[in-house]
Amino acid sequence: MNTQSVHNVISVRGLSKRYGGVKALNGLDLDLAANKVHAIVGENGAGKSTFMKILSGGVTPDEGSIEVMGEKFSSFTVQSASKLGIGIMYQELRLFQHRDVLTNLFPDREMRIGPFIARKKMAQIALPVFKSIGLDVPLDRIVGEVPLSDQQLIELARVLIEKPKLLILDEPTSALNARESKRLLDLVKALPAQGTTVLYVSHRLDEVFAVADHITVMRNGSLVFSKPTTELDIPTVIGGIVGEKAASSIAKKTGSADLYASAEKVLEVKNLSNGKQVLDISLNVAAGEIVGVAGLIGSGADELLETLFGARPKVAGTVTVQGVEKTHLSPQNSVRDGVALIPADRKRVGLMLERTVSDNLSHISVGGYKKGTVLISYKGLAAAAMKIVDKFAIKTESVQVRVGNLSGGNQQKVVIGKWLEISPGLVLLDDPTRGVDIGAKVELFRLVREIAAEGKGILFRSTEISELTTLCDRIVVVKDGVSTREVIGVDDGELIKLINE
Amino acid sequence: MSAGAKSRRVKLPEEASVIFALLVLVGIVGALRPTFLKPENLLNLAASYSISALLAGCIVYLLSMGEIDLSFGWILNLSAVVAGLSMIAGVPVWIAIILGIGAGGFMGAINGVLTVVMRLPLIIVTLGTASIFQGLSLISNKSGSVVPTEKKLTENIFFRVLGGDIETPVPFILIFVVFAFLVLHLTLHKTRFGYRILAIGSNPEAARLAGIPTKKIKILTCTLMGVVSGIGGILFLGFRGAVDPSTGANLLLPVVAAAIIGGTPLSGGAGTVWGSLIGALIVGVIGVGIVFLGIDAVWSTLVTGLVIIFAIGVDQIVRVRKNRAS
Repeated sequence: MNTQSVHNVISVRGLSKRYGGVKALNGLDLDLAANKVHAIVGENGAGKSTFMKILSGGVTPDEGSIEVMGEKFSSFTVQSASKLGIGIMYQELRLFQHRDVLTNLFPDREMRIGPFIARKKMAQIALPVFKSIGLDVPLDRIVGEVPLSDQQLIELARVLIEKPKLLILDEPTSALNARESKRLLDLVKALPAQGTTVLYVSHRLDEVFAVADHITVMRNGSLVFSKPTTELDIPTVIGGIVGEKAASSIAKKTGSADLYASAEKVLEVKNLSNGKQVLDISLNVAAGEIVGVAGLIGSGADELLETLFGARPKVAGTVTVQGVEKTHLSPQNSVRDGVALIPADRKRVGLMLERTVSDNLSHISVGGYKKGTVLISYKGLAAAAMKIVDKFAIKTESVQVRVGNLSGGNQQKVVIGKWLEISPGLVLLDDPTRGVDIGAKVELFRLVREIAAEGKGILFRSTEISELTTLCDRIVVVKDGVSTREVIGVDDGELIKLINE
Repeated sequence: MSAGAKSRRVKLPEEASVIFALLVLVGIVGALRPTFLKPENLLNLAASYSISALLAGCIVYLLSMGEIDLSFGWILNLSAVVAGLSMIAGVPVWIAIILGIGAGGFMGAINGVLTVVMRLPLIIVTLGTASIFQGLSLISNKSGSVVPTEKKLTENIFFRVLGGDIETPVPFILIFVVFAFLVLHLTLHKTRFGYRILAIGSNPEAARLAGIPTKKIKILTCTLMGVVSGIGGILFLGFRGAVDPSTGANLLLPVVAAAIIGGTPLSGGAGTVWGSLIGALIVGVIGVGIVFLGIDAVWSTLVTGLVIIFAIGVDQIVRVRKNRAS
């Protein structure tokens, strides 16, 4: 061990990574001092997750060098990361749902006596770790039967058992309530004293300020600044995150209170609840209006649109679409009533990736809309699909190409295109820009505005604050399942404060 | 089972409900036809269903991994044919037995390599290989039975013990299968190999990220299924003294039924080896019990089907309830 290793756990120089035409990381230079809690903040697409994936060995950088504890690496694999003691807790759980808790704590690292798994030995190691993070779950319980918040702590325990030198936490509190989050933050704060450097990634700035010794702000794949927390305040960090808008081509919309007052209501929601994440939400959308839904992960904003569409059961409240109160919400009824849902997880629920563009564009209209025909005319479908492809400028060689081969932005246009085929009066857009590059984002925004200009109402949920402030006429703020307020014409900083307060 | 848990709660084994179901079935048949409960009858029943029980204990491995093998009946057949023909050709009995089991392992390995290389579910691969193995069997046995009849063979200790010439208080085949179950149970639930199989069945992507060599494990598990099917073939040859072209053709239903009735889900990630043994006995009691009750034997297949639907139905209801509760 040389002396340098004491100062920096990680030093990266000129780190770059491209995905197709998009630069996820653009020459990042960063030093992370040992035995501190470092927070990395930035918008979605700022390059945080790419950086973390490189550190865990899951992604290979195109250019640049990585120095870990004084040792230089040109290539960095999952094996070298774990050998160096880099532990990562992913945002998506990586647990074996059918297996018991103890088995999940030692995935393929089970201790053995002879050929047999030594559960007793493993339990002796696991129990103190459980105690230290305040987790009280029987070790022989099946993980799938444990509440989600405990699963997240089990995932954390799994990483801690390896006693990592560098611990990367990606949104670790997303499934935790306030009390559990506090417990976790206290725990994280204590880690540097035990020789673990922490890299903490979170959207919640209050958490970041509570836990971090050092804050690094990233934007568009580059470093904005990296300073001790004591030299920073929340507005400065927000300023760094948002920056001057790169996508200045999207002109900001001015709030139009008049429009809302004069136009007919396409959607009226009163005290909606699904009994779980959505507890008491009221909002209205007028024809031609774009209404945003802002809220942190876990606030209920994620589930709101699916509940409105009928994909999740509602337990209370009224939903009125174009003046008619809907007694029974179901996807089938929603399609009939002209409500379209552009889902967030387009790969899982929005598209048939193995089928062609033409098949994808037509399956809703074939399935539920055009009545009276018995046999499907493939020629007719292809012709109709061609029209949508032209209208939305979907980049594809022909309508017979598999949708899975298109880029994320073009896939999203296919999802929107297929829903517009049923000529909906209300469009629910659930985080449509997830995994979409800046260029495609600009086009999507143009499309959304066109749809609104045709007199359709749009409810727009996004995890990116700047998208909401740029695109929406009005924004509804959701916190802990309750719609707390409605705002017009706020800027990014104000809105971040509102959803975090 | 979990020695680590200090606060030991009184917990019924997960096989409790299946054991209960078996006892109820035996009780019903025994109440109506008391001769059914004679020890020698019950031992005979167990012995005649021991081969499908053995295969059920191993199909649990594949189901736990989220896969299913449709070809094991024909692996069993062809292994027995290989061993039988070798014996008739003058190969020493013990070498012929090893050849037969080896052939089974080789066929299992082929299934495994194909499913890994072609990246197809095992069910699709074995749909094809099942016919290949059956075809090879028909070609080598010239569509007739393979019967080692020479005195030198039939008087070999292998045939005498398995065939029941040498009297043992408990049929030898039964002792062997119970021992095999002990090994299969320990391997799946107590060793890293078993943990890896269950991890792959539970979450393949997480298994890969945990560093588990998923392809190797798949091939090994398929090979194990082949070896066990081969052993089943040898046991069959010794027990019955002959292999017919149709041997193994009707094994798929009772074997998979035994595993499912025993409590192993088709979705992967979980499995119980002992449960499959109980499941195999339930299938056996249904088959034999129907004969005892004087009902035409053709009904047993139908009843087995009903029991499967019932077992899966109960399992699903419990699962849905649990999901709602959490």
